[in-house]
Amino acid sequence: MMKINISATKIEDITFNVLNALLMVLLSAITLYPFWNTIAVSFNEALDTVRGGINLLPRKWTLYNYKVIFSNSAIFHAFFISVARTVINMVTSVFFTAMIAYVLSRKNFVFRKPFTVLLVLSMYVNAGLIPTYFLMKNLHLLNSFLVYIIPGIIYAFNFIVVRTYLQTIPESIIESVRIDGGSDFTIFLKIVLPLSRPVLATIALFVAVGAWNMWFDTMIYNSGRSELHTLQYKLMEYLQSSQAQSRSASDVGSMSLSQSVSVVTPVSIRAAITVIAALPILVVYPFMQRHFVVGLNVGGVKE
Amino acid sequence: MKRQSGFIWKLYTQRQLLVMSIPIMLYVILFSYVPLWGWTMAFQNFKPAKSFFEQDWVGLRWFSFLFSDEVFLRTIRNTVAMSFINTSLGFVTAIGFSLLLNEVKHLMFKRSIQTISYLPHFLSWVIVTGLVSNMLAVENGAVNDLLMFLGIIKEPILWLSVPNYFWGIIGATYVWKEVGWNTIIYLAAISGIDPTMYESAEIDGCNRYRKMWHITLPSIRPTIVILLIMSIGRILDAGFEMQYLLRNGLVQDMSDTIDIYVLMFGLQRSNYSLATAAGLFKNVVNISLIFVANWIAKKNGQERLV
Amino acid sequence: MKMMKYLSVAILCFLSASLFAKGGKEDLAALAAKDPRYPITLSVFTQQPRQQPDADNKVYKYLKEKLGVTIKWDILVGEIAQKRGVMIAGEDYPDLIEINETQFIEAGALIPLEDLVEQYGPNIKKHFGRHWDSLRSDDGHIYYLTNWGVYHGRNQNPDYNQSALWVQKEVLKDAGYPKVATMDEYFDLLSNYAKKHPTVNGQPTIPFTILTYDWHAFCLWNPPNFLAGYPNDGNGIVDPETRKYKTFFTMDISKRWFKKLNEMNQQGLVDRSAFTDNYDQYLAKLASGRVLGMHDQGWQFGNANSSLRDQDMYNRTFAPLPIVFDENIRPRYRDWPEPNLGRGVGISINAKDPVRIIRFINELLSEEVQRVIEWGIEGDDWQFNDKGEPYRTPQQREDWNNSSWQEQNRALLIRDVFPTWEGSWTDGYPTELSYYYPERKATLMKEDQEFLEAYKVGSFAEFVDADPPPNSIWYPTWNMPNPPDGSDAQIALQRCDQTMRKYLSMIILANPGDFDKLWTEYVDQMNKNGIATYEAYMQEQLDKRIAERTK
Repeated sequence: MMKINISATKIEDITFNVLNALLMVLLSAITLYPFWNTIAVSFNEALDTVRGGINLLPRKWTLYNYKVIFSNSAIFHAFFISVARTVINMVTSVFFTAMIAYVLSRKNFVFRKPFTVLLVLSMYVNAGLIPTYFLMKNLHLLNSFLVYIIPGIIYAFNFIVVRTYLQTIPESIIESVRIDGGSDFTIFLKIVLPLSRPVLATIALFVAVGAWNMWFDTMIYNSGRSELHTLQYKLMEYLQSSQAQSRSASDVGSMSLSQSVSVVTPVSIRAAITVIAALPILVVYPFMQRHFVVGLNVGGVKE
Repeated sequence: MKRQSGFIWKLYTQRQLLVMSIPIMLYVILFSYVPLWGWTMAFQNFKPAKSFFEQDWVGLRWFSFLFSDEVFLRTIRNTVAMSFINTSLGFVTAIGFSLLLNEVKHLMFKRSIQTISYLPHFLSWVIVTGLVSNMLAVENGAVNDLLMFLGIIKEPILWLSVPNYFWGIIGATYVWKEVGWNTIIYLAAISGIDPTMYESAEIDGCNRYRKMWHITLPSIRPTIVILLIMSIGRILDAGFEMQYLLRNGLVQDMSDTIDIYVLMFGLQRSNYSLATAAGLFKNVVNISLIFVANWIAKKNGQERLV
Repeated sequence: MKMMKYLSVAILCFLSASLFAKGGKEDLAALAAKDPRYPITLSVFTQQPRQQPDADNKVYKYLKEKLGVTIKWDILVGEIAQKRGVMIAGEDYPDLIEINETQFIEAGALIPLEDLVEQYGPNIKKHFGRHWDSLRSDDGHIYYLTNWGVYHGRNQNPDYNQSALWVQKEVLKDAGYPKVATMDEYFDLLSNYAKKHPTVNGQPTIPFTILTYDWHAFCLWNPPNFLAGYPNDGNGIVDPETRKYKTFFTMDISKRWFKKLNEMNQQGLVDRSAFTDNYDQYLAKLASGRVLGMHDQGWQFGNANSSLRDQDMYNRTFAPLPIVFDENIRPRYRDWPEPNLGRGVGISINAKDPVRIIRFINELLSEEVQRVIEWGIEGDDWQFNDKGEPYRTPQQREDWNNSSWQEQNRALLIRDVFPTWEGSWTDGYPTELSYYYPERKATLMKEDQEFLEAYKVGSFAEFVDADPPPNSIWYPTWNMPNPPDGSDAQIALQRCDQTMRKYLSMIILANPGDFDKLWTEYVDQMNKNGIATYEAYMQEQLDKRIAERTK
């Protein structure tokens, strides 16, 4: 009887694993399709794409959509600005968010309640564009790199995510450090930061993706200084100009010459810029993914 | 030495926590609350060229404009409905997906699937909705082709012309784009679970489903509850891009959200006061709902926001 | 780890460099006294969707050497209403602002130009000529210089890219190039071809489609205006006798058009996806060669035409037809070009030396500089042949027709933002070299040649209307200022936009029995929206304009 039982569970186990794997493959196929399709479009001749019907492979292969974007050297500078802001955003935001989350996770902290309310509600109040603009102006942040950094130091959502996670760190560990004479700052640096690596990696990812994709702040605060334009902003500019080019495509002459290889359309440019913008994050992600797994081992330290 | 009063003493003993938190709180006040003077715009006929003291004050004119407009009231209904559909679908799929993904033991396989699943997050709504439109087309549309192949329908359906399908299409589109991204937070929470709990459960003879039900789910419950409360405070934010890009004249009574209304009557027309009034309304409702949800969670002994 | 170190050092250096980099102030008066063309950098805000020019762009180099001016562009990316709001609120203006609205003027962001131009801008004055006074705003000042539509000499544009009912060239060829003038003839033409050829390239023929997506939806409601023989006066019609402005959305001419579409839909001639397809899907349909006709403006589907050409289906590209309801109506599709008065460039209150700027624009409008901007650099982009006629080599033509090349090798933003010559140079050549007949002929496709010969015309512009009647004095009303922000007229118009999208789609798709009921409902809703408020506003503007121009 015992034996049969075990093999029954085993069979069930295998069936589950196989079915689950199949389901996962199916799901990834469904979620891979849009990005895959975008890549295919980005490598397809723009005027051929107008016909529609590009699915998994380009019909008329070309690198022109990318060539057009990289032909302007300003894009490399913009890339550098984007990397700089993303890295700095990530480091400052993760550090300060973790710090305030630690403080507000202390149950006996005097201002715990009012501070938490203030922080949480900041997520739900929205002053609108013009008052925010005045704030930046009065702080002399217009037309400067700092306007990319300073407004993004704390996101309430991330604070809550970290605070929720910190509750899983046993109080005993923290108390033991305190008894050894460790200050709160030491506890934060030596215990909280290392122990919450998985969650910090998560919010780091959130902040990084958010910062990387941001272009609105460039438009509002820094549009007049082209040396501060970010990659996404630059790519938006290309997209717009491809729309203008499509309008003039009906001008005389351009209609009748055979020049299909050298035309861009909004659809093609959009596909190419999407790939360009997503690529760095996709390259960096596997390195961040490791930290999620490290979390597994850290979990064992508890008790 | 004089005995300090309780509160001052407490402040003194917590001076490090205060040093760590007060600058950050001042920062939050400065960047999130100081600009709220802008809410006064909702009661003005705001013109950016005028200073604060020169503005025309119009009282509740914009609010009465909004709430006497049946189009606006309809956008509230649409927003709440789509927000509810998207949130519930989003939760169920993301939690389900993370649980199943967690059962995948092969590390590379697991990581690859995770990476692939959040790829659509990096696509703009224009691209995703463009693909959705193509798939729902009557000619060569994947959805119609599949349903006809399976014999479920005889004639291709013009999905985007039927008002009643619109919310469902939005829900499906939202899940398609964001399910992978939404799992990240649950997977992080799952990775924080103490493995010894699973070991002891195995010794107790728990099978896979029981472990999911009795260990994994309860362990990520705080995360789920918190995210749920937070999303209740977003019930009036159903976004505008996906609806705006997929809408058309035939379905606009079902498709238009508050944000689309504000875009059309406020932002694009430089009517900042109308936009602020609608924004203020959303903020007030959202905050009230947050407190209600928080209170309910507290009463039920669940995790809460504040 | 080392990487990170380097990166952070680099970022720090960069930060400090960008924070402290600020130029010293020069003594402007002294500079101007010494040299009225002293080198200056001007910042310009523009709404033109273009790219920042390359640092080594040859035309900008020419302008810098010749006129001493370097331009720093602030190109709008995103929503103008948002950017404009913060610019005005913060009074953060660059030296020059390109406007397409009245808000900047109302906010006092621009300085009056008439005296400056009088004193320092003879070329500018000459350029605008008889249009000079129509640049004035309500208070009598001139705040901006209109950038387009000011013609010197003859307009030689052989193309027609404005509104029309378009038809596939193949359909006309198949019917033996008949004369098609009325709405009924037009639809008969389409339906006959569709009966004869139920499929194109193996896929079902789409006799008539309508672009209804997002802001393109004007293709849905604009046709009746033209069919009834009125010129493009935006949303309305001006009665030439009473000079009363009325929107045509609910007029009988609209009812007639939609009744016809409703019938056509019953016969299966209207594309069933027309009301759900987006712009890309619309272009894809056109590019498949299956669509026989539609109402549109030519510039909206240039890419579809190009795509057809690349697929060797040039015969399936589209020709414009000036269709009207009845034979006795004079079509008013093609018009005489008018200055685009609502748009232009102005000098902001923050500009340090407006005189220098006017001098710059003045020199920009000299024929010599204009020719560089329009034709490119002589010897590089074009040259004279032995007979003294300008021409381009095949390579030059190809470059010139490549919009990305243009973006990098021409000063397109200068051309688009600042006032520009259009029409002809003083020596008679067109300001756009490709309009010049030998140049045009070199690139004419054989299908078009056949087409033009069959109709005995020289160009598509001539085909649409060889000699349009003169414009009325108020024409066109579409460049009159929009209703003020938050006004009832503005809100009414927005509501009507919504109503039209919904009802006009429903009306076309309805059972013929329901047509009248739906039409009444639609008209009621439009009246309820307060369309009269909008008409009253437009009437006011119209009266003002007529009064001004008959002074």
